[in-house]
Amino acid sequence: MANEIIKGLSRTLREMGRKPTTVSYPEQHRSQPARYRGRHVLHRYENGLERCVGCFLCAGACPADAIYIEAEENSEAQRVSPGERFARVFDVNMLRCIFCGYCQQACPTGAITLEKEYELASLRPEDLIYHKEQLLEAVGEQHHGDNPATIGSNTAWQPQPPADPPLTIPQQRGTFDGQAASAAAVGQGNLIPDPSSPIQD
Amino acid sequence: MSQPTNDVPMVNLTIDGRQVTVPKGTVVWKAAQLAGIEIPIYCYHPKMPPLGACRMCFVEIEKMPKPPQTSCTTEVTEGMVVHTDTELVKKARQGTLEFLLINHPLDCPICDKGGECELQDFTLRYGPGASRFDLKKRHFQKPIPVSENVLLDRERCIACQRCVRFTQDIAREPGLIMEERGFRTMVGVDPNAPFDSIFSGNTVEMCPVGALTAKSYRFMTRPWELRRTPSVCPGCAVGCNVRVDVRVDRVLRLMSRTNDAIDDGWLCDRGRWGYAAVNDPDRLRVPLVRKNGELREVTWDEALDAVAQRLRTLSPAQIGGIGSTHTTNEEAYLFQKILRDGLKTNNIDHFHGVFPAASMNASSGATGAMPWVFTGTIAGLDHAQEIILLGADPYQQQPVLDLRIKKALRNGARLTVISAEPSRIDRIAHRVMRIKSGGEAAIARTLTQVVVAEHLWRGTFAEVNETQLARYGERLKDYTPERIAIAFGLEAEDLRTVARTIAGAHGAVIVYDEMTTRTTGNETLAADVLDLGLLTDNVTQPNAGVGPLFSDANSLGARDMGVLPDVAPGYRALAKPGLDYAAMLGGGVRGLWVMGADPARHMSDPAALAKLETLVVQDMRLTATAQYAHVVLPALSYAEKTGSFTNLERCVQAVRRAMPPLPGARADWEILRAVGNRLGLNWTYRSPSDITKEIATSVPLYADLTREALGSQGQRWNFAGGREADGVLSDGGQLPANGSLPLSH
Amino acid sequence: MGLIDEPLRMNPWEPVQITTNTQTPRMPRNVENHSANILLTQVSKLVDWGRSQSLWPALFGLACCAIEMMAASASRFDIARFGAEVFRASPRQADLMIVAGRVSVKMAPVVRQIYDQMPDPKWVISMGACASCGGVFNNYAIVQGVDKIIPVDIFVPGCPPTPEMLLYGFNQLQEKIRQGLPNPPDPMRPTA
Repeated sequence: MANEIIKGLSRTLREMGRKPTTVSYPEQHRSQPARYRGRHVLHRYENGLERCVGCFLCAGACPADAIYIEAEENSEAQRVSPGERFARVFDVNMLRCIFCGYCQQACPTGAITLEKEYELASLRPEDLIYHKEQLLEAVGEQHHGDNPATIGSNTAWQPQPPADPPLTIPQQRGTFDGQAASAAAVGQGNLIPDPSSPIQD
Repeated sequence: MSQPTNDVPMVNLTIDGRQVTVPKGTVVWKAAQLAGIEIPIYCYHPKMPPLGACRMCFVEIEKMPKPPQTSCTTEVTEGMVVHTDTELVKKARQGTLEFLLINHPLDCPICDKGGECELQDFTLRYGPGASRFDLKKRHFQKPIPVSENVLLDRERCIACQRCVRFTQDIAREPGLIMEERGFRTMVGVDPNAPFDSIFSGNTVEMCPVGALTAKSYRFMTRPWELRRTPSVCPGCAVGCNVRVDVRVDRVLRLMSRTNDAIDDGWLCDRGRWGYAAVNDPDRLRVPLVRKNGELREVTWDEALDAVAQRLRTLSPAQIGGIGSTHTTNEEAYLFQKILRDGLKTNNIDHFHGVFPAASMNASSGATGAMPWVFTGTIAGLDHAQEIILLGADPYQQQPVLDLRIKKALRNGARLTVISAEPSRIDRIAHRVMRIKSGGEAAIARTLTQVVVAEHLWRGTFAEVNETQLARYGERLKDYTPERIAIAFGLEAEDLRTVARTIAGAHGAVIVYDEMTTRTTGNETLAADVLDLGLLTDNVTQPNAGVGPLFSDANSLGARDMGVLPDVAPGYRALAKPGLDYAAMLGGGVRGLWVMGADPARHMSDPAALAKLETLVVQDMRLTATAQYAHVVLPALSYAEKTGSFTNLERCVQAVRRAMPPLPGARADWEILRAVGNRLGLNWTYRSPSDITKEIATSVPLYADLTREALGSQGQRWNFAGGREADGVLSDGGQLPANGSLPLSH
Repeated sequence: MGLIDEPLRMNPWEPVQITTNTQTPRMPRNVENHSANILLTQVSKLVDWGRSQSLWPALFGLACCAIEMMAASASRFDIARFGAEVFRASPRQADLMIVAGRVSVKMAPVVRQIYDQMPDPKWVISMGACASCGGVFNNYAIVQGVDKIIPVDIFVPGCPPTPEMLLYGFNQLQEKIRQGLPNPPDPMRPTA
């Protein structure tokens, strides 16, 4: 009997000295796993143009129908993204979203990623529909030296291309039949044209 | 229709081991399609002759030299053995696709066609996994406008020539041409002629890639975001079948939904891009009631109570109703019913052409309007021998009919245009007669006079009435070709020739526009043309027909449903006809109920509407009429409600709800039901189907009509089965088949 | 789209998205409490503080979200720090309902009954995408948002929300109670 009490108490006394497992949450944040998917962020190129070209592929991939986009055409006067098209409206309904990351996978320009932000609850459901202005990272916030503001920003999103990359995206290079060439339509505006292209203008 | 298919010999062949039997003359591609085998192709279009330009549809045919062959240009022969998936064929397809993709830009994410692009689909299914081409692609200036509504992106063009062939062969209009040769071949705009065809939208729809795109649809959405609903175009009386593509709460485009009997797979730009009114942000969302001289927003209950209370204070003779040519049959029926049953008045009409009433027929004694309708079929136009446009301009008013006429011309028909105004089709007409406005009726009588004078009449009607013909000719003696020719500056011999060809043709089509009958001098045009048709036996013959071309989507439906002062639904005569459109607007009534119409447009002094004690308007927007209204009730568009339209050949077609109704607005039939119940009618219609059921039992013309029977392509109601021979004239029971001439002057 | 007419009225749980996200129609909620109660203001603040620190949740784990809800009450996240560790099996002893998981149409009357059985004052947290708006289960079987049947105070997104997300929502609720904000209107008993 006494033996058991001593045994139990010794366990209690031993544990008393140890740090509790509890994360005292509001004051202290647990470090999230590397592949944790939280709130979406829309990214920009280093020159400030938006990566999103309003192609609706994320909305098409979304299993919960949480993304609503309205696209519009870029004009020379008001250029929002590098290509012809940009998203005028980009709403993510966080209530519908299941944070699966399909949108991130579907995006052809790496414009949308799911970041670590998770404090999302709200009294009003309409507040949980995040509009483009809320989702878009601020100009200049893309990177702070080696410490990216978000994992999806330029420095962290994609590994740097190899030294001698194949030229897969058509670039604006001179003229054809006397016609001025158009810019890369899809909008990978910051890819550097291949210097070793066998065709020289 | 009436295509002589029975005597075409059948041919047996084997495609990929499947036995296929097809009519002689079919191409291998079509035979494979019938057998359910897909062969990728770009240049082929079912409504156009084969070309063999895209080199995509390769197959291997045993015992044919130099495989592979293009399946779209090879006709089937007896015992042919075709293989569509041999190594050779696969390699050929991969090669073609690789070549196409050399210059096709990879901008699928922002291309409007992406998701329904044949180049995308076929590349995925048949193409090579990767391109060996690592040089630069050619680039052109991104979209250049080829017309007001269509943009051309030349980078994306794969030179299948569908669009060029459509404009040149089907629409027979200038505008698009193929430029340059060899690898430089591309679609371009004819520098000498603008691409201003009213059919330009079809080129956008048939483009297999995103080279031709519509300005209105540009960057609006992607195909997978759309909800597609089969419906009917509300643009004109042809009733082309459309697919309404809706994203969330906006109609974004109308696509054609092939109905060989009506639209032949085409749509005009007016219908295709005429959905702006549905998406209009200025649409009414709340009922309005006039208080202290100002229209104020109120609740539905308050507005409906106001309508019932205002109408109840007026005596039946003081109330009038103006219906619409745009509402469904069900709503038109309910509208006349609420006025006749609930308000006990026959003052009900809509804006329509002038059609002589049967009361002018001395012998039959019947009163009221007759079931005026085009007695032929739209599909029958294809094989008509003679087409007479008497004051009709289908290009502007019923555009898809214009394509039918051009198809008939390809089949060897002869076209005569007799009209006051020049039209686009004059260019390709065999004979054009310019007359003075209002002279169409005189021309029709002249032609009849020639028929009578030269004894050219034929057919059962003429035989039965031979004794009357002499007297009839006597009455027309003033309308000799010579006199009319002088009056209009024509050649008398031309008029005689036209009359002779009509009388001698195996199927002549004589049509006039509904609104032409409204010009002074044309009051009897409808009857005159019917006389001509009856005497020359062109009323009930296959591929022939006479009659009006109605203006609006449900012009005929409104007539059939009895939105007329002198007849009940189905043209049953009324003992005491009410006031007509002009009389009601001219101050004949003190209270006016307008459903979906804008009579202020037709009034020289719209301010006269302000004198009305009560003006109730149901409409989608605050129209000119609604400005004067005491109660305005917001209504729904065709895309938001269910019902049926009757087209100009009395083909009844189902209109389906394609998107959620605009919050706050209600369908016209719901409004009518609510007012009806406030007037003590105890209506229990739960849906338009219930009204359809009542129409089926109470309107003889639409007996046994059900929504299920309409199917996806509509039904020519009361033309089915053995009744077809009687044509329209016996349907309403107004004219005996062997009766006298409908009109005696 | 069949030939038969579509039903006249919208199914309250209509599975298709019929409005744009920006236009999702919801009832007006959380109107500021403007009661001019001078004497008892401080007392009610004290009461509200007390209530916020002793929320007893009713057991309402419906699906996978419940696992995270359990994790939130376990030692690592320890909802007991906020006085809400007492998950009650009886609604009579509970004043907080955490709807954790998708509510099927069959379950809807049960949810409503349990809610009705809870004594006032009571609060509801809609936990996760399914409870909040149907989530991926955009179909006839699932209530498209539990706020269609009971008034919801806090919406917590996630699929499922991590315990921290739930705790954040819970803290939001505590804050709301302390501020004395009224509950949203009851969707089943519309006020005139």
